[in-house]
Amino acid sequence: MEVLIAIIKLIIVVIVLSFYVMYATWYERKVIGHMQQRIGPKRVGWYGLLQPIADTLKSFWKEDVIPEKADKPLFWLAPAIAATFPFAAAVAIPFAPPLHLANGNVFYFSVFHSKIDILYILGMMGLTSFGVLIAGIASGGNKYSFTGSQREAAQVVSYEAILALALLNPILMAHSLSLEKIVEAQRHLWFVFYQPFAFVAFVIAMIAATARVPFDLPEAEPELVAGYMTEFSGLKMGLFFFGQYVMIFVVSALASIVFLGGWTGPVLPGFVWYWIKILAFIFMYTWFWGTFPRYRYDQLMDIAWKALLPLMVLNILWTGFALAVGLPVL
Amino acid sequence: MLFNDLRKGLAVTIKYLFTHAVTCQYPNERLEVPERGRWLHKLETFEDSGKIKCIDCGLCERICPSKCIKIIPKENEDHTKNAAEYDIDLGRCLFCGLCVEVCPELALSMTDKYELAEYDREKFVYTKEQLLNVKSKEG
Repeated sequence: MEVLIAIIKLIIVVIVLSFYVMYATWYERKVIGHMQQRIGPKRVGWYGLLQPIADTLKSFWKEDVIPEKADKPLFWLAPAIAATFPFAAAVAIPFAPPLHLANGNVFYFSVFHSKIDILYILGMMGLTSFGVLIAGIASGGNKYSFTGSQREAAQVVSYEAILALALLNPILMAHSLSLEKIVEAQRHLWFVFYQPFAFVAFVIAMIAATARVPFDLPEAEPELVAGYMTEFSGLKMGLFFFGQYVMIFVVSALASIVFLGGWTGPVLPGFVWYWIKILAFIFMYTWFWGTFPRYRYDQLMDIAWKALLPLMVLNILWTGFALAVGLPVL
Repeated sequence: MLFNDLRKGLAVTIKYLFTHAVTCQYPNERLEVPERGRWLHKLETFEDSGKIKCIDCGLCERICPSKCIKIIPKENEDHTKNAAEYDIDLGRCLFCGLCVEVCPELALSMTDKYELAEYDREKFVYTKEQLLNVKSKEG
């Protein structure tokens, strides 16, 4: 029974996330367009609402070009990794607040629920970058792909540490790695008010983790053609996009749970609060995309290692000290 | 203030998000073209008699830098001259407007028609009949 429910949940999550990815592209094109005083997609369907479906269908019939020098098995593996691990992370993300049933059981709206959700999500997010790294190696010595992957490597060693360290503060305050317990601990006041620096550091790290503007170094369209995706076409490229958008959902949900109190909030029901926060983060991504230029990768490493890392270490020391002595953490 | 530069940029983009798009959706809507723009030529006629104004002085033919105007004259009964044929090869025309400038009888003008693409080179040669029947938006 448990397994059956899990499988049904999994199928629903995959369908919901697929639709989310399709319409996230439509929404981003629309918002970016209006930010640049354009209109965005409008031809296919009402307000271009069928555009993502047309794009998806198109990507199925695109010619699948594999370079002669490419490492064939790795060339297949790279998009698979880049698409599956964000999904693996997404199965631990709750889609709604847990439901307390009449018989005392709790129904969770995530496929997979454990006491170490955060650790699991971080692990899966870390593995996602291997898709990008392998894509560069597999592309048969294409300089753009290779440079893109090299930058991704530099980016991973910068943001992963910050991501984990920034999450450590709320974890310390909630005494738990479980998402539900962390939300529980923010009943009265969200952690963003206790930990503003950790929140800013987390937002920076999560943008770097999803490789979006201003940290879209591995793609870097004006300089690297399409970065690590240069040699990939059709459905394979679609899979990379898929992974990236699911990743955006995962980190947005994580940030809203850990720092903005998940489904806690006044007046409105928990479900609504939760999705307002997630959508606000997704809008933040688009807003940044329409605004910022790209950082160089040495600048990113400077930000991460010279500014954020010492700050986060001090922040954790202070949080720990304050919790031990019983001072209000701020 | 912290992140002041980033904050300014974000303020600009969010402001433009709520302004109207400037896109002109071309085949459905058209931009207003400038009044004195130089597009398709038109041969003028007298309003009362409807006769062609061109007296075949040949000045436009001479001044045209790309030599794309060809006139064949005819003599009327009252010994005045008119153009029997008046061809402009728009495939060569550079729309400098010198022919209009030089015309002493104001027999040639330029309209606001600018969608002149064709599939064949021959179709670029506009004959006298076509040039007489050009309809401009102003009438």
